[in-house]
Amino acid sequence: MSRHERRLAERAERPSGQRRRAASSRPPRSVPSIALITIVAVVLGFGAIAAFQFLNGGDGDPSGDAGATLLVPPPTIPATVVVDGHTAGSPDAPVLVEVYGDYQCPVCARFAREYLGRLVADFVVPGDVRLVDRTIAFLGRGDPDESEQAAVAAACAGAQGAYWPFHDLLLWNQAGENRGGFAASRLAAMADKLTLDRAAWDACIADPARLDVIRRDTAEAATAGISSTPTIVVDGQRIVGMPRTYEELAAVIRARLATVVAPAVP
Amino acid sequence: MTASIRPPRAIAFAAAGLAAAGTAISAYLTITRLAGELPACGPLVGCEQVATSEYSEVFGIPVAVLGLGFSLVILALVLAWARSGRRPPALGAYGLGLIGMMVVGYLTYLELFVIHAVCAWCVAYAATVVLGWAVIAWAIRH
Repeated sequence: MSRHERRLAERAERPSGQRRRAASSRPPRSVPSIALITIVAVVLGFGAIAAFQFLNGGDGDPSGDAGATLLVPPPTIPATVVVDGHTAGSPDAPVLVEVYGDYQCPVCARFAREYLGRLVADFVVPGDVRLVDRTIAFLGRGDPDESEQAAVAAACAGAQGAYWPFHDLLLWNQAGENRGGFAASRLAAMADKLTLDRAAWDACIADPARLDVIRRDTAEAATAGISSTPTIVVDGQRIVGMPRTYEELAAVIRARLATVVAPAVP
Repeated sequence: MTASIRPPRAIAFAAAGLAAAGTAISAYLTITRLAGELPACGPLVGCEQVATSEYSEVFGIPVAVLGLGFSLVILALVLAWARSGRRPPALGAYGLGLIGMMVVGYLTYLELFVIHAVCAWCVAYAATVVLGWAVIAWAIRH
């Protein structure tokens, strides 16, 4: 006999007055418990959503993160490497590695922080790879579009030979997407951090032609089917997303190098 | 009316099936996340954007992992309910399901209005949560 059945049997043995009370109290007792659970669950649900909002920095107040001091990252490209705007490495390098990224994309930042420095040290410094950073701006929302503004700011730093340091600053100082992390004031703080010529940089970012270039590049990448960032292209071979390990990426580059650099056959 | 609230077989199968489907989807998303890969999206775009957005984790915990934990607990409660016919697991699944439904509702709102990209896996997962809760809610009220 189950506990429920036993309870029912006990109830049946009680005097009729008690039985009536017990019978009438049964349905109401279960209804409030569902109502109570519903109320508690709704409260907890709202609590969970509020916690989620709060832990992701909140929607309304971008100044908290954006006002934070800028992290100054170690340079991705050492001073010995030849740099031309957004490319780095010898123009004669046998393999071309292109990195497509949006400055607001958190995985791009991880890629830059965890893999890019090693890639430069292993392949760009020895002259095997020429690295091209291809900016696409597709994560920005609203006006100003922070992905586009960041891309323009970097391009204008590039006009002063400081593309890569600006690239590093941006990717190490992300502060959430579209909430002021790359607001004009913060981008200007980055320009100052790198002691750029502010008058020239200010004029450059105000030039609509710069934005046109970013938009054109973004559209071209989309046409070519690059729809997520980072996408790494090794001489035309695409790796979509962050490779699981650095070694996985290095192996692709090494394999390509082996086919391109024909062994000196006697 | 019997004292036991053991659910009808069809209801138990539906609730357990939905919880199992939710477990499978969240397990897939958890595995790709932990492997550092992007979920396969097929012809539908949006998975990448959602999966790489800052909202894909909370306090360092991927949302996919939270979903997996949630679905496993619901699955366990539904199975316990179906086997024993006792009320507490059913009420637990009902209450937890309600919380889950609100959270997936919020996440879907984020997809639509903040990230502006919709991930098919996430929508499918949200559907298992909502339908699963509806089945459980229907069963305990009848």
